Amino acid sequence: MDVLEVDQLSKLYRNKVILNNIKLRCSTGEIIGVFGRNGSGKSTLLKILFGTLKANTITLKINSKVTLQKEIISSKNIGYLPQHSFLPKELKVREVISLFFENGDKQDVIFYAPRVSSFESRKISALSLGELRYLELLLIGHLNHSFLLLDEPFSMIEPLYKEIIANLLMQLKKDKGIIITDHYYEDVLKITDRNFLIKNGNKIEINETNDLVKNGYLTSL
Amino acid sequence: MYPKAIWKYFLDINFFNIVFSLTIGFVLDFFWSFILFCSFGILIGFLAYNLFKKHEYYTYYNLGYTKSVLIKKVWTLNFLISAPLFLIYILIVKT
Repeated sequence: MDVLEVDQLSKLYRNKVILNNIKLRCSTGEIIGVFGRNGSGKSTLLKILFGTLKANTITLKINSKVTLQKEIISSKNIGYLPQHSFLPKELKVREVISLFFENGDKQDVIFYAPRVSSFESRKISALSLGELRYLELLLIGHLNHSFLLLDEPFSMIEPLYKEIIANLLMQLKKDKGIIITDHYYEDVLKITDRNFLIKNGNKIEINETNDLVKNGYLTSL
Repeated sequence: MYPKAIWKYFLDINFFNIVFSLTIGFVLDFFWSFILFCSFGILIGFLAYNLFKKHEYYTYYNLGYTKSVLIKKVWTLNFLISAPLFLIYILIVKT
């Protein structure tokens, strides 16, 4: 089992505290949900954990080994699905699959994944949002990272693909630790093992759905 | 290693680089195209990539490549390509 531990994570932006001394632990085999209102620091948290945004303070350990932020990408322990699409739009799906996987067997895992055959010959620019998000998740999810950070995988996705994405995440969870943030809280709560809310820069544990109301993220259930 | 991904980045950066280097070559002398192709042209390609394709960096980040690793690979490849081409160009010009 691999373990990602984060301690003393703080981020200030123009003297405003975005994240205040956040402590977090994620193990392979679990999915953690992160909630918070717009601008609360959810995406900032994921970018910091992926190493593309510098924290003011952070101690990050992977399997008890301290990893500097600048070493995270090259260590290949953490994968990240950003909010925006990142695949080259001019390429066909099958060409993008071969960018990510040189090995034929690994390519086959993607080609034979549910529904991929229906869009493998299309260009990335011609995919629906659901198809694109699903493909991005398939590609990142099948790389050899132990941890996945997912920024809004369910947003604006049609119901059919939401279900496929949820099933994929449950499958990936067997080998990976996943941290997911999305405003589609019902979809997130269906698959998560633990959840927390970021409010005023602080981390608040969410033990039941009603805690989201109590802490002002929802007005009612 | 992901050679196809590196090749894709190399082509994308050099698309902008070649347009810039050849334009300067037309205006001044093609001697400058070779020099620019493996020097300042890479910076132009890098800036243009950041402007038009910056989201695609997440493909490379997920494969384990940082911006600095990618740009070092492009610079090395460009140098290896432009050095023999430059020698051939000199030989043609002298004869």
